[in-house]
Amino acid sequence: MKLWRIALRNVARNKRRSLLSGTAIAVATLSVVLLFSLIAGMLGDTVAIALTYDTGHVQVRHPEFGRYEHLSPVHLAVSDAETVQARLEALPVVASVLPRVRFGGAIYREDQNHAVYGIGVDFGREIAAAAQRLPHLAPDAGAPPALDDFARMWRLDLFGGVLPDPGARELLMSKTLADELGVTTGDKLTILTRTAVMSTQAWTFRISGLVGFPVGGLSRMVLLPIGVAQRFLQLDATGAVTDLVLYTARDDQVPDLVAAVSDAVGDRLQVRSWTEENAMYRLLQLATRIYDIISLVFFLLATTVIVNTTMMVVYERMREIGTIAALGMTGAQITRLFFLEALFIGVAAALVGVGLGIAVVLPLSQVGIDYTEAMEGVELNMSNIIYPQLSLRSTALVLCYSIAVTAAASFWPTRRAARLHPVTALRAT
Amino acid sequence: MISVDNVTKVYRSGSTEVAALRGVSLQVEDGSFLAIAGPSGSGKTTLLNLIGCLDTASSGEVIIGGVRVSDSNRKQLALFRRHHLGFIFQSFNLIPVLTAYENVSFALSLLIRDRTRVRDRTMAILADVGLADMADRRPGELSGGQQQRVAIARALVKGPDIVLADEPTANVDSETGEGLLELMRELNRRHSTTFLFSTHDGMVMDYADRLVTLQDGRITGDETRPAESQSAAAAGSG
Repeated sequence: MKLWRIALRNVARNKRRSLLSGTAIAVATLSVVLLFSLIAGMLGDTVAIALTYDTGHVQVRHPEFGRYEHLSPVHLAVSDAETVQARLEALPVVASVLPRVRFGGAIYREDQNHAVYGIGVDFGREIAAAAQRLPHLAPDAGAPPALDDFARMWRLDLFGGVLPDPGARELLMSKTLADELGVTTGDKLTILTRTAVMSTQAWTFRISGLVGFPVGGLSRMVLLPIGVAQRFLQLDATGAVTDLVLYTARDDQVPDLVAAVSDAVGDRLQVRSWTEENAMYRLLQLATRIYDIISLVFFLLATTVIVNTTMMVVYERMREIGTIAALGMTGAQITRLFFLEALFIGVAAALVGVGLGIAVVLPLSQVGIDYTEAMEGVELNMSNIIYPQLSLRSTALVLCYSIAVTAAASFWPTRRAARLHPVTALRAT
Repeated sequence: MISVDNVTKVYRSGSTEVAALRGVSLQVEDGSFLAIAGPSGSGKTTLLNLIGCLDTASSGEVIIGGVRVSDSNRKQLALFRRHHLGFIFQSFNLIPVLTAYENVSFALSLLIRDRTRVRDRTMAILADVGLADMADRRPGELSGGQQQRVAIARALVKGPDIVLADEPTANVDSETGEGLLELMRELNRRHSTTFLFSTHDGMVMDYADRLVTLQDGRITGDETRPAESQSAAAAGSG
């Protein structure tokens, strides 16, 4: 008769109690799977936002731009951007380089000033670069740039319209801002800004389309063709842009990309990787460490139930322990028998917890968790809808972690069973 | 051969000391059918526990088959019990989640890994105790007498040198008790296994070929009885 068989029968001996102990472990495991999936989803979202709207893998800017960023310092731009861009594109580690012009401005409408943030982009290049990173979303090869392709690549909701004509004073506007202004596709409005030569400039633009940004912090955004933005901000004379956004083929090549780009541009320009200045990402990484500790506490709390159960089992079965000791079972064998019982409950409960976790996370990873109401008025670099991500590695880790903590916790009461003196155990009623 | 030499066992509880055995010496020949009798608290269970390697003496020596068990550590004692001793308890002490077959085979499987041998010997001993057709029943599905038969089978299945039985008839009716004693006597004769009983039961004493009496932790009587008187006693009690 194998020990594991006896252990299995003993688990079934008091089904309700075994079920209760298992439920505590399963709930803890389920919670941790959900927690880690949510954090993974938030991290993934932060990465996607940083890569798409902010820095790319690496951002090249004027060294002083960051310091005065809140003042929209378009005069602190990268001059002769095309030459710099060509030099960077020649680097083997570089997959693509995207020039962008960021600026701030105001829209005066019905006696009120409305803040607006703009990015001048090359829509065609943006679609092509995103297609390299997200080939499954790529449009048909050779197709002319279209708004729906751009929206798909930039994770935007589409509310009608077309891409701005590259030479015309047209822009895409955030739906949130358009609603605030009471405008829609086809309407015109005037944006007031300060140019690179410190003069004030006001241009009237036609809204070619409305889009919804996934991030609350981008709700006041307009996107316009980069050539138009350069002229608007009087950067066209020097061929300057505020940012050069670079991508490499794989995320793990970013340190190589930083090194190569830094060598290429020298001290004249600032080179920063997407992780360096991304407070949200660093915050989430810190949160991940904190959640590691919280999950350990979760498991420890859950294991108090199994420790309690094992102790009760040892006390209840004292005479049985004495009997099997009399039959010649050694202390190590007795420990193994009781340890196996706790382990079976722990393994079964951890598997159930992970299974339930997967069953909950999988559909949520498709439909997402909508935080729109909670995020209203919060300008955070995080999407309003978070899609939890199930990571095979972290789920397997949670499973092992759960089993290991349960096993470790149950070891102490099982050792107690083995240390019982046979006579004392046999005397128990 | 069991040799108990000037053994004392003292139990301590806080500052209180209770001497359960006081300088007990006893020699038991192989194949004996020996009963240790005496009132409650006389030390008979303690003596049985010391011989059964379930407890250690405060002083004195216990030597079984030439092995000085009083010097052994816990693991050595466990292995000695596994190889040489069988136990029958007053309350049967069967494992409730195991069937009769499994209760018996479990004791043997600690000693033998060969499944076929374990199965054959288990079924043979269950047949010896008259329970071959109840092998699949769990203890809860057996009567008290049947459970004690399983316990006897469990004690004997590994062919031990000594079987220690603590009040084996206390929890069964007299008819069943006598049946059990007949069975043990028969197995004692057939396998030359030494049987040691602790008992209050006059019937057990009648069956014994030697009766040791304990009083206040000391041996007060040691009577060896001729075979014909046992038969007569057994016939009389039947």
